Amino acid sequence: MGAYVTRRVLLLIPTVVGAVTLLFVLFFVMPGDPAQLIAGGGDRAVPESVRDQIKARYGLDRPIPEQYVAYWGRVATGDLGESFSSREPVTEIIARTAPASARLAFWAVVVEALVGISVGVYSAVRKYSFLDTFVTVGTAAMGAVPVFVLGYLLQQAFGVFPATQGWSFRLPVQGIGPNEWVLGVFPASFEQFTYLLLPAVVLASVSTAVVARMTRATMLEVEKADFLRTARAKGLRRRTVVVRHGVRNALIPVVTLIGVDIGALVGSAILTETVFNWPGMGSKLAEATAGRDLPVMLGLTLVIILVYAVTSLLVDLSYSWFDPRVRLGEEPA
Amino acid sequence: MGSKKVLGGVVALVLSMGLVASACSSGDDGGSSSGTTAAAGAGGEVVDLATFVAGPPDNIDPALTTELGGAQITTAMFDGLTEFAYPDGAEKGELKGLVAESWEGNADATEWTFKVRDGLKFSNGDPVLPSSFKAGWDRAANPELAAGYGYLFDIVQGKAEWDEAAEKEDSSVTGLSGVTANDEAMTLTVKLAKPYADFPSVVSHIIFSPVPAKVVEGLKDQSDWDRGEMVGNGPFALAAPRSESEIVLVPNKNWTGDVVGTTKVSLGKITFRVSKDENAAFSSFQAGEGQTGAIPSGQYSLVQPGGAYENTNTVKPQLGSYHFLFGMQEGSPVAGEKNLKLRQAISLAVDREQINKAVYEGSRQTSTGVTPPGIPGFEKGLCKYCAFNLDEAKKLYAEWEAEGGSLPGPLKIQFNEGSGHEDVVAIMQANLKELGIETEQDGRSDETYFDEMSDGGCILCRAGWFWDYPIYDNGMFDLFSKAAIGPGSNNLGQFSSDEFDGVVDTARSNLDAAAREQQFRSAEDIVLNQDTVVVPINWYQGDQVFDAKLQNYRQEPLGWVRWEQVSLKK
Repeated sequence: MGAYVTRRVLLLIPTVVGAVTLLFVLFFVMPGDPAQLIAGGGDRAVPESVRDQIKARYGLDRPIPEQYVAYWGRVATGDLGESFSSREPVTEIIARTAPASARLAFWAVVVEALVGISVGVYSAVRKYSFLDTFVTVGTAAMGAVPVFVLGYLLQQAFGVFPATQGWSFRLPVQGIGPNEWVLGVFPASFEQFTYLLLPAVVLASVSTAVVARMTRATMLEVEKADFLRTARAKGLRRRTVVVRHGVRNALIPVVTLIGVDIGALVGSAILTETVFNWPGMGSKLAEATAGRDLPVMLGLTLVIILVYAVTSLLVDLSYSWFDPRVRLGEEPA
Repeated sequence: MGSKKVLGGVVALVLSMGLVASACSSGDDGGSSSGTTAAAGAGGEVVDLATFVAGPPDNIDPALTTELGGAQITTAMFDGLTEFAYPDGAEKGELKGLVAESWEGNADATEWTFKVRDGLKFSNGDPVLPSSFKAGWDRAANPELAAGYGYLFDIVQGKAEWDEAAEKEDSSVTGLSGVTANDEAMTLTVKLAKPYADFPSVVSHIIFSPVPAKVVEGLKDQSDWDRGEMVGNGPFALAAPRSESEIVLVPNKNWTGDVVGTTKVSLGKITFRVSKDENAAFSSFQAGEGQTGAIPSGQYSLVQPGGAYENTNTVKPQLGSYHFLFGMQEGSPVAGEKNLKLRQAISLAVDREQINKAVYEGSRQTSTGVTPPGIPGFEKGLCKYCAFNLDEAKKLYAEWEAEGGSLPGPLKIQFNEGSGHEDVVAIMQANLKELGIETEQDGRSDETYFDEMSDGGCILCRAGWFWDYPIYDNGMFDLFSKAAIGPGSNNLGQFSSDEFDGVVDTARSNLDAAAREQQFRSAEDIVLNQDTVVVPINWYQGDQVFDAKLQNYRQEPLGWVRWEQVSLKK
């Protein structure tokens, strides 16, 4: 087990190096002069002298391989550079945006797991009922609606519509609100909860649909398994059969999905955080990419890769808990 | 039996969580969003949702700000030597002294002396002195800071030497040699590298703001100032260092007045909320989370007669021109005296009203020249070839053909992709087809467009220009002079005329304002009529809507709101 974890951690190195190299190459292959954007170019040309000064400041006038080596040299000492556009240290940007993203992702996963699994199990137990059909159609629709469209719709429905009706009740449509939390992730006040609700639901939407459908499918599969028939034959209560024997076995692929999904959440988070003005890494990454802000792009990507790698490791480790037959790090005999 | 209940219960519980939550939220939520007036101080609190709709500003430091949003904060926090006054929303501005009591130029406009008002203070209590300006200018012009607008100091003596020294890594130059501050006499004397009669107008730009010398000397990193407790001398001060999600301004108690007679700030607090997406920001405004909103594209019907914000919008002309330039460099199929009638015919054949209606929902003003109405010296109808007239266009086109004119192939119309210019070009194509000219869309990537055009690639190319300060020269010298030709410069069509440069040079050194404006108009007459090197399309307009409770809320032609003049109706 220890050797397995070590090997997985070592595998991270080529992953991270590869991703950073790719971003570096892409950045310099992309057409145009980053100095133009850094200078705030926009709709006008930027004088050569200003561009030269900017390039000198950020070392963009050095040969690309030299910049690449210098970047790793700085990263090794924990220095991720400063943002081209705001000139703020990247480590500070990460320290500021990562907690907001983590909170949103946490609640999205909670929604996804709770709603997705319970709807899926319910659907499987009452298969071909009206509700099951409804869930099947509903999840297909949910998975098909782009995240930002759902975001706008919910903003209109729960924020703008109540305001135009003069109702005293409505949900905030922008921002993180007071930003007060208990134990890191629990909203400290009811107001905080109202700010969290819509973004968390929207971020969870696509994944919830997928989890529900997958849970339903695996449940139906497990239902036909021998061990379940045996359990039923033993005369166990239906609830015990479904929960202890059925759900636990059906959950293995679902847990993988949720684990892997934490990485995918980052993608949806770019849109969700942008639409809801949530001050996290996703919206920052979108902003940095649009502004060709290389140090911020690289820094955030590093963090995202690490998060992704660690969660997928944890998911793999959790297999052995769900299914004791799984032995990690051993070659099959 | 039991299992059904349990599972159904879980589903119901989870699904209802949201509803329960929202139902309970009624009480405190109302307080947080529309409660801005309830807890108001003297003149009330306002939440602005119009300024930052696509992310936070990179900078709000007067030396570093290059975007309109950031500049909005900077103008509220800093007062320069001079400012253009637009009393009661006047269309045309007038230059007035702000921190400068008076100023004087020498006979050939190469040396300017500003007399600084006594007794003014920064928000931290430090006095505003001529040396505060010297400190601010030296800081902003420092090549090491690499400020985006640092080139505005090129006109000042000593800037070129400083740049040169920096390039050779020679650190002996530490300031602009042409700027001398005398704190006893309260004068700031500026020697220029070239005559420039409009210099007192140029110093209205935020990059020429004063800074408290003691404060900036103590900074570890000069580019960090605006993320901490930046201190200015304007009507507002930072309530706290800015965050990624908002910038909060409160009145500066040491402020004494502006150029239109305001002597006291009415509002108690302004929170500029940063949004990431213009549509979501507008939803937020509609939901009552703030008092100002930026109209998202496609929603201009809201401000037109019958719309919800018919009377509460800021849609008025601004200092921005949207136009197409003819490539006048050698080898361009439209260049030269022999193609003058072709260029005039093209300009006449473009239906600017149609473009404004179809592409901009009527939200812009069709132009009658390059220079917009807010510029002192502006004259309506300067352009003789800007009103749609197909018959006249056909006549000129036929004459050009009869004189042996012909195009080697389809005429290329160039533009940067992704900002709706495609639609404008499509209409122009249809217009020119009527004339008998075959055209071709030539869209380029936004990132390389200006490089390619300024490097001689322009044939009929789109350009836009926002004035840095409301003076005629800024839209003439910077866009059409020989000095503005070359990679990274703004004379994209490479128009090169000794006559034009001569007129502009004379105007630049003419101390008589009325005569100077007249000379600039004749310079514009050259680019519009005599040589016809530009096809003006429209002038940009304001783009905000606001809560009816806001009084005196307007966007000045330079794009920003003078928040010190705004008040909130109870």
